[in-house]
Amino acid sequence: MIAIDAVHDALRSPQAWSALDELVRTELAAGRLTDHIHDELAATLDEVRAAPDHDEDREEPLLDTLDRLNGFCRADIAYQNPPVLPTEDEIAKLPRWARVAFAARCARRSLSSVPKEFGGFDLGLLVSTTRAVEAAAVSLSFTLGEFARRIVEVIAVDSADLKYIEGPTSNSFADYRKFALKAVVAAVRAADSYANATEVFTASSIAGSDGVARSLIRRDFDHLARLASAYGWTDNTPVPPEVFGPLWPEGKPAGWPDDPELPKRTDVALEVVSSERVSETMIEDEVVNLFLAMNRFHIARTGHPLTVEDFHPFVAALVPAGV
Amino acid sequence: MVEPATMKLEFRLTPSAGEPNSEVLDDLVKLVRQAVATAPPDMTEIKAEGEFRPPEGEEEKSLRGLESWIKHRIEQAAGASQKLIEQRETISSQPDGMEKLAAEATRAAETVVAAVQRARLRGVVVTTSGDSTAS
Repeated sequence: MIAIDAVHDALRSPQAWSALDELVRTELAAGRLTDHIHDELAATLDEVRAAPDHDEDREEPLLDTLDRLNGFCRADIAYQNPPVLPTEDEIAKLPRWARVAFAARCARRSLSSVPKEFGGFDLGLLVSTTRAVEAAAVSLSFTLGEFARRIVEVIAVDSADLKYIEGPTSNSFADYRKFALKAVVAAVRAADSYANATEVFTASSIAGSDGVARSLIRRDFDHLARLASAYGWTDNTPVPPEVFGPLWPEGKPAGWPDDPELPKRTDVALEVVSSERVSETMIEDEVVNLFLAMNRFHIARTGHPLTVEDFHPFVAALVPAGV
Repeated sequence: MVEPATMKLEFRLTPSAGEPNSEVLDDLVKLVRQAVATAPPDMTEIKAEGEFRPPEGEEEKSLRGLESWIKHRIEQAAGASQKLIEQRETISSQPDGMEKLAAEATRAAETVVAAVQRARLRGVVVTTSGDSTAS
């Protein structure tokens, strides 16, 4: 809990922004969420304004801090939640198919930790089942299909207790098998239970059984919650798996296995289309801007730049030739 | 609102040095798809339905000019690339270099999504080949 006196002191400090930043970071370090800190600071605004020595300039640092807490700022200066798993209450606030998509994402993350040498077991089946849950979040319907039925049979034989949540504790086949099965079954149960928040929470708890995964799951969840809020998603909004982006935009942690579904790529083929109202200068600007962004990402990950090849322009066939 | 697409550009981005890294290239594909999937839903659609043909006559001259300008500006950016490479080398030699590189890659990933969506806002729709959506 942030005391009002601490907010007053921070605002009276010659380095008010830094002082408020320190207050916020202390709260985040204690595991508190940005939403809660935002609400608490926002509730102090009236008292800050009522202070006898108040002037409008003085509340600027507080308003900026509130913007950084709710993401109304550049992405790189927005405060991020600490690496704690989303609670059942938070999950319950997501629209239905966003909850299913989130459960599927958690299963994906769990499957991504299975070492390659264990990929032979029923990993293909687990990947297919996860894909079925992802597809459910797009088609807005889920039936316990053949893959899922087989998975549930396997887990029944395995008699693993889903309440017993623990990631692989040794680098053994049995450990990873159980972990992967649990994660996928949790996602199936989430989809099959009308996205019951408890089942979705179980899916995220299994996937987030280690610190690295926990911070990524929190990031996935916050991303989804922001989209749902910004675009007014409802219980009937489809949520494709693409909304999450890559599993590891920062690069996989050392020692993690390769993605079993990774396609062999030597390039990125792009298509750019535009309408009549867009000038060539605008197209040029956007293509160059896109290239610079992709090049920066590629250098950050590999240390090597990109180059453009096989540039082919086309015009709509309905446009008369030579015009 | 729907507008018909009148022009299409196809091109490939390839690493100019080193072995292609499938994982990183696939992440770039996923970032473009993420940008498309998370774009504001009320944007004007640009439909790339129907056939496209190679440009002819004056239109070819004009589009070749566009290609030259794009390539010229990308070549001009080679200096900036070199600077990024040098920065990366410096960072990777620091004790907390791996965390800093991860943070830079995350920021760069956000920039890719933003670039695709900015283009979309200005009526320039970017997709990865094979993804037929232009809306």
